[in-house]
Amino acid sequence: MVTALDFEAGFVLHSRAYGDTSLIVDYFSRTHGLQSLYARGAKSKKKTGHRALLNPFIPLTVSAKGRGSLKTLTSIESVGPAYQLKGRALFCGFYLNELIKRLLPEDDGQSQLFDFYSDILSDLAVHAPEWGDAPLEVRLRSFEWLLVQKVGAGFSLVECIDAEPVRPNQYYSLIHQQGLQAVAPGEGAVSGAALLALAEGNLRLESDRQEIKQFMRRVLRPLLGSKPLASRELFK
Amino acid sequence: MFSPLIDELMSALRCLPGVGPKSAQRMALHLLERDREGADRLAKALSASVAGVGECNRCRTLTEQHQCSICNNQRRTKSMLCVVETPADVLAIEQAGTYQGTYFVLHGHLSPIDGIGPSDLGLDQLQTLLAEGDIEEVILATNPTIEGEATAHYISERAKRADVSVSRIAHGVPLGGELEFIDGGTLAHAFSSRQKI
Repeated sequence: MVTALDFEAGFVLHSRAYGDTSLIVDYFSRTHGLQSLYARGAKSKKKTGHRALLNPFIPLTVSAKGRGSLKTLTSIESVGPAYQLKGRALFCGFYLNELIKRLLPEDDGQSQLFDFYSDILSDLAVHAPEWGDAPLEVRLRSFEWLLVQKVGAGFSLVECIDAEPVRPNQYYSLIHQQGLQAVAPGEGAVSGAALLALAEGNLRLESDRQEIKQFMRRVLRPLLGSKPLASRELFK
Repeated sequence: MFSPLIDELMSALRCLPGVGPKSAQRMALHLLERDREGADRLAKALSASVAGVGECNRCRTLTEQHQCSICNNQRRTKSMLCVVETPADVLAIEQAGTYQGTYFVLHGHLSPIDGIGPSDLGLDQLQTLLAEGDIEEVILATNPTIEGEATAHYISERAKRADVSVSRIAHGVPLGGELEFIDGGTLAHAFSSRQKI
């Protein structure tokens, strides 16, 4: 057996029962991307410590061995306190996890995306309900955009397909796998101002956030396929 | 190796949790060789309960009656509703013997990655129950996992909208436990929800 992961920093995205006492864990690691890990006996009484650690939003290092796509977990340690996400921030965390699980291919290390993910988790952990949803939305949109770029579906936000720069008072629509095209305002069109705000990571205006939310849904739809994201249901 | 009927019995027994080929063989041979009467009783009980047992129409726990014995019991406090994930949780709380209210069984928890959303947990039914106005307090006893917390939060928002007070069961150091061996998350929780005495 080869050692496949050696004290690899990461987060559990999700775990599901396998047999009576074992778990299969989706692990988002910093340098090896998404990994499926087999945690033998993790639900048994002897390993209650393991069970507590194999939950989302806890910074971990794990070691695993095996050659195939499913590796066997050999050791697990927490490297910091769990991010205590509450309420809507917790739903946002689920949403991020579902996005990564659905979009990121296995074994594709994305350290920038990973660092951004852990930054967002620490922001979500301190989020207070009275601040409203705006700060959460800003973070989710910039994460979605970074993820889209990292899975190779990115396009320019400042230049159209015909190499014209994006102008704030013009409207644009998205041509799948190509980029932006100037169109008349209407259904499915997004304003240049909102796109430029997203490019700068500056979604301060409520109107921009609403536009970009709908725009990102259109960007993500072809990548997600026919099955919708279940975590969106939670926000209704 | 055996005749088709015995083979079928063995493979049927393997649907039970923790039963592999070897235990299935032992069970099948035991029933056929030594305990035909018990086998007959088992077969009848199985087919009768599979056909008859459904869900209580108030609390969704497993029962063959229209309403389960807890919901039907006049001495139970109908104004208290304890939300749990599984019928096994109802049994655990009943065995503890201190709770005198009624229950609501979700049969799972919210888990988006597995595709389990609010509609799969009978939350519309819970909403109707809350809207009827008889319930004064909802006690959220979902498991202290991330998914259990999300489920608890989701229900608490809806209960507050229906003007029902909501509480969450306490989490922390188990009785008779030793602090030294408790994981950091549980300890942090125990400290943040400490009580004045």
